[in-house]
Amino acid sequence: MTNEAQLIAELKNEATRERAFRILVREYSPRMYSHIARMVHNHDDADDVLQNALIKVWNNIDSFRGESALSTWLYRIAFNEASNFLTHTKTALSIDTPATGYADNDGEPITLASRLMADDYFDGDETEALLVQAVAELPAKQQAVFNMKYYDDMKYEEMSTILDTSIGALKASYHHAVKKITSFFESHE
Amino acid sequence: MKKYIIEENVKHRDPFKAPDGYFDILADRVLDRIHTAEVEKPVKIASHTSIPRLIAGWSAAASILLVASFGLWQYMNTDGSNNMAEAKLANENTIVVLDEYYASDFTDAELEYAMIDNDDIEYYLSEIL
Repeated sequence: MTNEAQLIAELKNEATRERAFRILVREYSPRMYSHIARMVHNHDDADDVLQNALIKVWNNIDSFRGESALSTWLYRIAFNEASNFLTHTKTALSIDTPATGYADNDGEPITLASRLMADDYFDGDETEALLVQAVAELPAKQQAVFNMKYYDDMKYEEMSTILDTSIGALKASYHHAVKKITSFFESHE
Repeated sequence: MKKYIIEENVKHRDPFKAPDGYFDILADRVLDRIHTAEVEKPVKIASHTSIPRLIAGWSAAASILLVASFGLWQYMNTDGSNNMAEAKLANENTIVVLDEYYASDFTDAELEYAMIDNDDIEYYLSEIL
């Protein structure tokens, strides 16, 4: 792993910025991609959002003051970019389309789980697809907390910085999310 | 009933995967976009506040003010019995002034700048005031 302080210094120096940016993309983008893909649920959108997030990183690196770890800052940018994307997509799809935003030829809604099972870039089984669907039905903040805890085993302290929410509220959110997901699976038994 | 348990403090497998080689070319794709955006930074388009339009706007506003002041001056300097005749004369004078104004040899650019409407005038005034 590259020394973070050195990487940040090189990113802030115009002469070394591009080389350092390539290192940043190599080291951190897989994790950013995972987080974004879990929010937007398909590769094409995840690709768009990740590229936009990385462009924001390039344009705003001088404003990074090092108050948090670089990875936390990057994760926060990825989260905000994906949240904005979802907000705009929901607005665009809000008329005459099902909640998942997808429908078959007869206009019937397609569940997220069945769409994921047909997706080349979803590498999970039916239970994992159902879990993604259950999470997608949670309020936005509960989704974020659950994903960060369940898939990344992230500490509440880091989550608190990314989501700008108190640790107590995050723990409560996670608890509610788990209860709802459990109940989702019981109803789909 | 079957009990579902969400395991805590375990990092679970992420079912979303990127295409093979995706991360190898990602930096190049992003840097291409960044450099393209830097090259194609939008050229500043002349706005409503460009100097020729501003001059044209002020000229038009000044002309209107001049004609209105002239009419008002005529009105204030006549007695009641001659009001109608004076008003008619003032109106004729105004028409003569306007005819001369429109008969002048304007360049195309001047004519274009002269074609402003009330919205433009309000905009110019709001910019100045």
